Amino acid sequence: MMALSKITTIDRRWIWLVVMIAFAIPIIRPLAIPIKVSEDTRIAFNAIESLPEGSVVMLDVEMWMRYYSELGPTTEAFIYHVLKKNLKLVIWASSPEGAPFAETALRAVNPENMGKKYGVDYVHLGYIAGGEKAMASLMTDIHGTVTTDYYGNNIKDLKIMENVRSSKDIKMIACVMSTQPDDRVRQYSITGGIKWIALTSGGWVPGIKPFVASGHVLTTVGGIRGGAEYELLVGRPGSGLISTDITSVTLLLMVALVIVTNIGYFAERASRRGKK
Amino acid sequence: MAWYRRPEIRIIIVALTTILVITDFFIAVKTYNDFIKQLLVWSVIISGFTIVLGAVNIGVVHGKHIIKKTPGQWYFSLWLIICVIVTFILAAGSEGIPAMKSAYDYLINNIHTPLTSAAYGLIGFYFASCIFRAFRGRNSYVAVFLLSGCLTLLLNAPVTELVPFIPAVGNWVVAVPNVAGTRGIVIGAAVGIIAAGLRNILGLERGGLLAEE
Repeated sequence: MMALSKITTIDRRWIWLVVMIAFAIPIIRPLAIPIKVSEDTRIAFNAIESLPEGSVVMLDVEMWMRYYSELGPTTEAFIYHVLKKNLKLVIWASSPEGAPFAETALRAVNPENMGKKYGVDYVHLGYIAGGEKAMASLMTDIHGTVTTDYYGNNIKDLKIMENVRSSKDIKMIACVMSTQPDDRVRQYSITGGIKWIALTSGGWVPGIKPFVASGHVLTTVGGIRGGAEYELLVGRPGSGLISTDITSVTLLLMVALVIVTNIGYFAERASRRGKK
Repeated sequence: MAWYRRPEIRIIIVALTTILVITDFFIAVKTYNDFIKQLLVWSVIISGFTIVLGAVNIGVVHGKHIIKKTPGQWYFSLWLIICVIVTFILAAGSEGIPAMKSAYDYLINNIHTPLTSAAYGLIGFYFASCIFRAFRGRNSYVAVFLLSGCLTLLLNAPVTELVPFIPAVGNWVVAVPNVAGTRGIVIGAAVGIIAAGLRNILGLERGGLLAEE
């Protein structure tokens, strides 16, 4: 019992070393752990699959660049899926770093390689300031809200924007986000009348679930695992699938740490009671 | 006290603007709705000034360190100010000058993104040591919290699909007790916001701008 109670005194640098080894093993020797596609991701995939050709999909990107390793794979897979289905894609950023985030994802997908043309099949409107007010404004009058795209082109000169003027012209919205969904529920679901897909980090899935249950949000595609599942579904294996091994090993390690520290804690308590 | 400095004037301004914005939801008169939309645009512009305020504050705080040559700090402050100025110049210039846009893109994609990702990745290590030191079942409430947290963690690990009951239990935890609890929190927060808004309208909230001098 005394030996077990010493667990709680382990220097945290040993913990860091164990974590580093856990990160490294799947990179050096991929484990190829099979993944099963969850119902939530399948709902998102089927929602895009069911849209008729030429329908307009809006992608609202709110993430910061530091989250690209987690949500980049999901965003890339989604953009690839929308363009592969010959749908029209309108991207805008609701945060300043969302614009380069979306730009990075677009460059990774390389729509021109898929035979798509900028301004005809997809457009990147860049960052639109205002948060919820920008969302409200876009739902009612896109051309009144933004006049130039991310690259400085007048949106009136872009063919894709000719018939995209308000929420009435948009069939589906997806939001790359990691925050409370209230503002989007108010503007997209209630005012715009469009159910939307949350492409969110794994930690925020529980926070958005109540809105999925109430029917305001269509579904969530959570974290790197959701991204890996979406890559599987669209047939574009990428960094999401590569990262699932690392995710599995490190999450199992975290749970193991909880178990080990509790063993040490209860052993310490027992030995203290024994001394009394 | 001069009449324009009286707290009642400030209370009236706050109350009036709050009531005007709230009643926009209930009044369908185009002129009124357009006026409120313009008011909200002004609020976006004003909130943009907070970024300027933040930048000025950074300059003041770190400028003091540079001037006083605070040991162990002043060179970091100098580097911070240089980075802020360079990023601002590149971002502002990227709107019209292609060369500056390429430089700004390079800064974001090849310097800012890898550095912020690396800094964010370090959280994983601190998270692990935090788990080891703090996640101990001191009582039954903490034990339930730990158990549900572990199940949610395992839910995100693809390997646990190999164990049949883990995804089922984890999904149930997220779909049932979590939804119930989060709904309660959201409704409670909304009621709290309404109460705070009413206190502002009625002038009962006397902190900050509404404090008597």
